Amino acid sequence: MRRRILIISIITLLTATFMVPESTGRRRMNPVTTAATTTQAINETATDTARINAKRRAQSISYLDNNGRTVYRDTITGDEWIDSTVIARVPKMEFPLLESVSVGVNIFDPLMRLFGQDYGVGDIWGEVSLHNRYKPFVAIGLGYARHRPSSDQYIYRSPLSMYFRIGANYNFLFNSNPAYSVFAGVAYGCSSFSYSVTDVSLNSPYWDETAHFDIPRQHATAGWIEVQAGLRVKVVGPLYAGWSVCYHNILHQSKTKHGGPFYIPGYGNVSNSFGASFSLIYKFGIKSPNKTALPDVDSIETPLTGAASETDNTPEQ
Amino acid sequence: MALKFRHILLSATALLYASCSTDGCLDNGSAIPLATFYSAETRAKISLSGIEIRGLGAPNDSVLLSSFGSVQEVYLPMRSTQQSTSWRFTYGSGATSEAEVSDIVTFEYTSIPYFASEECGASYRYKITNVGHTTNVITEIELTDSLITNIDISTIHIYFRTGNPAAQ
Repeated sequence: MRRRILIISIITLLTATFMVPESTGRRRMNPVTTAATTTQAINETATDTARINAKRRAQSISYLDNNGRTVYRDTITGDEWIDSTVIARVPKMEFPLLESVSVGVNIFDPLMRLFGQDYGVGDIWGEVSLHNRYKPFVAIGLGYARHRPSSDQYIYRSPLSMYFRIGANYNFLFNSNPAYSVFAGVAYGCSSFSYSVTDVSLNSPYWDETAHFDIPRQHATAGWIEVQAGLRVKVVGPLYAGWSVCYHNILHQSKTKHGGPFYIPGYGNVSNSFGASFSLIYKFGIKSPNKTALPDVDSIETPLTGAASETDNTPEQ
Repeated sequence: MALKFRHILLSATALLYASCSTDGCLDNGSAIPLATFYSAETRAKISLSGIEIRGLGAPNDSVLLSSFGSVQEVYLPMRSTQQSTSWRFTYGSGATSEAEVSDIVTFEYTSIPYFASEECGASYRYKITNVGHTTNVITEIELTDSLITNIDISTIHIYFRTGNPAAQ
């Protein structure tokens, strides 16, 4: 009896050994579509935090921080977080290298003339916006002065002369709305000009004498450096208005026999260390922002759902 | 937000214009030489009393300085319409004086028109070419700088014999 059982077991084992691999390779399953299989993927991923976060992002506001990272903000809770998965997709600079070219007219001196200033004309300048961040510029302007002090002791005249400025600004809002910019920068300016002082009357009370004389025309060249800060705002369409203040200091100035100038074109009154500008600007946009559209949450979920469907709905061959 | 920026623009412009006003002239409006008195013996600064200074040719022979108290320095305004200016220094002219002794000092110079600044205006600078004086009490006149500007520093040192009763 025991011998029979042993023989049967061996035969059964051999049969299973040779039969099972062949039958497994040929096995095919027909898909069964029921309500349960339709909701199975949803139920299985209901607690998947990745999917939950993706849905939350879809309902959130995002912005780019200074490092080019997308920061999401939950509109309900106010929480903020960084999606590390999309860092590589967003360029560090939201704006292209050659973002725009702007041309401006500085009308600060003409405005100040309305308040009694008796010098200055204005300048035009051009600026290139690199990534909406670095903004080198050049300016060319005209200066003129005819100043009579309240003491009426002399008349200072400086005929129309040119001046140049070259510098660069840094826009602190480089990855934000280009309609606004807050900037700071440095510039070098220079001018070659002439001036004269006429109708001078010099009283000497003790000697009871009054001398009248003119100081002959003198020619001078001056250069200065200025550190400036300002802001710019979009008015309408491509028109902007910008305002800036600067601290400037004369770097070099010609030695003159009969005294230095009172006014330097482009610099202003030499006794003032601060200057200002107010410009009307026309901006020529060149390229639109680099920012790529973030992938839709639905498009993130589709491959996951699709993979599940393919697994589940593999047609039988 | 645009409205807020425009308000900032206007406010800052007004503030800047208000802050750009200039101060007055910190130096003298004209180039007036400042003379300081020294002792010929000790070479130190001294104060003189009972000294009177008049400009030669001044209208009504007016007195520039008449001191009963002590005085250590004096401004000597040059004649801007002339190329020289002379001063008479009279000692012991006070009520307690015993006798009047005087010296005459003459400065010869070249006037140079000069624009100092907006606030200080235009004036002459004086390049002193020669200094002459009598030697009754004054022994020496020293110029630390022959160019007289509107900067308020003493460039003329006048040395007196301090053995004179007028000197203290």
